[in-house]
Amino acid sequence: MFSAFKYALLVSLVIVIIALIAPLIIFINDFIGNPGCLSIHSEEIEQINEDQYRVVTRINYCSSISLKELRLVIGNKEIVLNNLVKGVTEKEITLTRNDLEIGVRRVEVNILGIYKLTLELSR
Amino acid sequence: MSRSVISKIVLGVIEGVLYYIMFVVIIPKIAKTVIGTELAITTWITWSPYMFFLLGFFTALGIIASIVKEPLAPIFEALLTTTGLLIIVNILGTGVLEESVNIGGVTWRLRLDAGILVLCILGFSIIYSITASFNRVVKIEE
Repeated sequence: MFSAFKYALLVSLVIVIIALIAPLIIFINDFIGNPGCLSIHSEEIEQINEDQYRVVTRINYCSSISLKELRLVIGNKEIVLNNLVKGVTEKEITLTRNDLEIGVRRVEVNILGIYKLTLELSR
Repeated sequence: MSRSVISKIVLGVIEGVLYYIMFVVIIPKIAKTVIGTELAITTWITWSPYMFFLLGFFTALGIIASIVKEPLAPIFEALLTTTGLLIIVNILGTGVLEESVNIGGVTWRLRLDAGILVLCILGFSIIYSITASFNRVVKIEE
């Protein structure tokens, strides 16, 4: 009885590991095939006052693996997108001139809600 | 008796060589072909004296567990799996991979948290070791 359970356990471990690793391999493979798979562009659309600008942030994402949480730090401003899927996503935000000069400092994504990937600008 | 001991040791060595070929030679090669990056497990290991001790201890326990008879066998089997878990934890740590990458001429710090994968492997290993020990205990009672 225990021997059968041991083998069933091994088989289920292999299945779970494959199910866990597969999204990561697809994600990495998409990025190797296309290094610009996740591109972020900000376009200024309106100047609110002397220091503040209304900006549209355009995120282009090419992978079929959805990102459950995208945290983007531009200057001192943090933008959060709850679910990023393949295609172009736009978000309107208000940024200061200082934020625009500094640019993207940190990108944090949650690959399918399983793996947390952080890219931070080295000082 | 001595013949069966020697054959068990030889079988153990062959098994070890097969595992080595699978995890150190074949899997990194497949990883390089599929995802384009080296995934050499040997480069993750910090070859400290402690690691050598753990690997030596693990090998010795493996040989003893396969030689001794019940009721001592489950004890050595449990010790063997515990040492195995300790080695896995030493190699994988908390499952966080940190690397510096160059994107568009700018250096970024990349951090990948795959802790859930490590937890999954450890969880299954613990259940497996408990089941294996129970299996030996049941054999004794039979």
